[in-house]
Amino acid sequence: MIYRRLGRDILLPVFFLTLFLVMAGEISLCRAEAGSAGVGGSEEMRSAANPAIGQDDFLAEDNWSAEEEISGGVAMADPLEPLNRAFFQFNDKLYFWFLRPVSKIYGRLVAKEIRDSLRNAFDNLLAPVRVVNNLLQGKLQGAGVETVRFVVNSTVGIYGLADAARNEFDLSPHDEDLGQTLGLYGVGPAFYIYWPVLGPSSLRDSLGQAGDAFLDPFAYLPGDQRAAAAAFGVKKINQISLTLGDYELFVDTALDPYAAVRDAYQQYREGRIKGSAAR
Amino acid sequence: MAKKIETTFKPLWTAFFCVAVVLAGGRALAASCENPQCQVERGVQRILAVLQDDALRQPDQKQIRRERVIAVVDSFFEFREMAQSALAKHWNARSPAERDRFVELFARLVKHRYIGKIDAYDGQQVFFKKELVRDDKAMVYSILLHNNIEIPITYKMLRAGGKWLVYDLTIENVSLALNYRRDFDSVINREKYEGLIEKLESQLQKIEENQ
Repeated sequence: MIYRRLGRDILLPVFFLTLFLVMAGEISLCRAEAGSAGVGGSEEMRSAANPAIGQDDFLAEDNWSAEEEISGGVAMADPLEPLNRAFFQFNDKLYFWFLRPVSKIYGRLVAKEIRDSLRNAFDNLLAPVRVVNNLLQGKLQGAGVETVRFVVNSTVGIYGLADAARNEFDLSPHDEDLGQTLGLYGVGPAFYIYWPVLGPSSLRDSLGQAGDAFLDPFAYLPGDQRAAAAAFGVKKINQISLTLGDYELFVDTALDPYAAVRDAYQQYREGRIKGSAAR
Repeated sequence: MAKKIETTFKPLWTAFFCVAVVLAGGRALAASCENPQCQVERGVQRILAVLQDDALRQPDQKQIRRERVIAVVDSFFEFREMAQSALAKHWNARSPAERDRFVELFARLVKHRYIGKIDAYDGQQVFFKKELVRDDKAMVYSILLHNNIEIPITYKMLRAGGKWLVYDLTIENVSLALNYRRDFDSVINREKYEGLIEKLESQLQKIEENQ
């Protein structure tokens, strides 16, 4: 039980200590930024000027200047760049030499419908993570939908193999994790971390993942860590078999793939957190 | 007699009717497709039509297929604006000739990424959700549905010569222009602008040889 041992003895105290430090620093930073931006006034003016715009449009309107200008803000800090680059090379080789060929064989042996179902089932198991994070973000509706999704998919959908909640009841997932929750609280990513095997992350999102791991059923599999490792491996191979070509295309059409992946991660997470705030 | 008149006039009336319909329809079509969403929608549908054409999937048709997709992409993308935005602060220091060369190379790279992304999915559906227009800029929101997973794609557009053209697009919140800006920044910081052009050329050669 590598997760449990790591979690109980080391990660938990480190998690809360770092969380406290990061939050203390970031919140004061964010306050300063929000103060200088003066968002409140312009929001009121815009909604008054264009009452026809709905809530959804209005939020998008509010993001207009940021989205439309391609200003993009500041690139994420990367003090660990040399180490990160080494791990990036490692994962790149791991992908091309091992994960991709294995996923290809796996994809040929297992029908796509089954792989889709398996992905749904793995995803269903992480419902507790989403429910808790929806609650932490004060989203009762999101938490409710995720709970109903979990119940429906675990029963009607047979252990989550079918996404019955979406297909039959039109209930789309409300995907939230602890990294997003912290982001919504005003915690910045701090700096970029590229983990061996796991790939791109930030300090905030790594802490978030460590926290979310307490709600991951795989962390509580009986026996030694081999069962958890096997489950992780199957999940990873299954996922790669469904997205073969995505990584290749991105890396092939980038000039410095390391920098391109780092930025894509930053933009993706910023977008998710902005989406979290809008929902 | 009455019957004769009817038969003589029938084709004439039909022809007149057809012309009227075509004129009205054509006008309505042209009028309704002046907004940004309609223009992207039409472009994307044309790309999908080429990609999903079984006759063009034959190995010997590969080159024709590619050329047709590129022709459609060229008709509604504004690569110069996108390239300038990707080069950002380094753009001003370039001579007109250097800029033209960069735009040409950059456009080729972007097409590989964008077309590759669309081409990777078969049997996917594209939904256009809404557009926001402000003066000469617009944003068009679309969803690519694949395997029950929604991939949001947003097109940022500008109006040039009465036409709406795409100058940036975001796939799953990742802006193409910004992603390339940070990618290129990293290369220029270490290898100067000349290094960037060298890398662009060799990378394009590698991609195009593998096709």
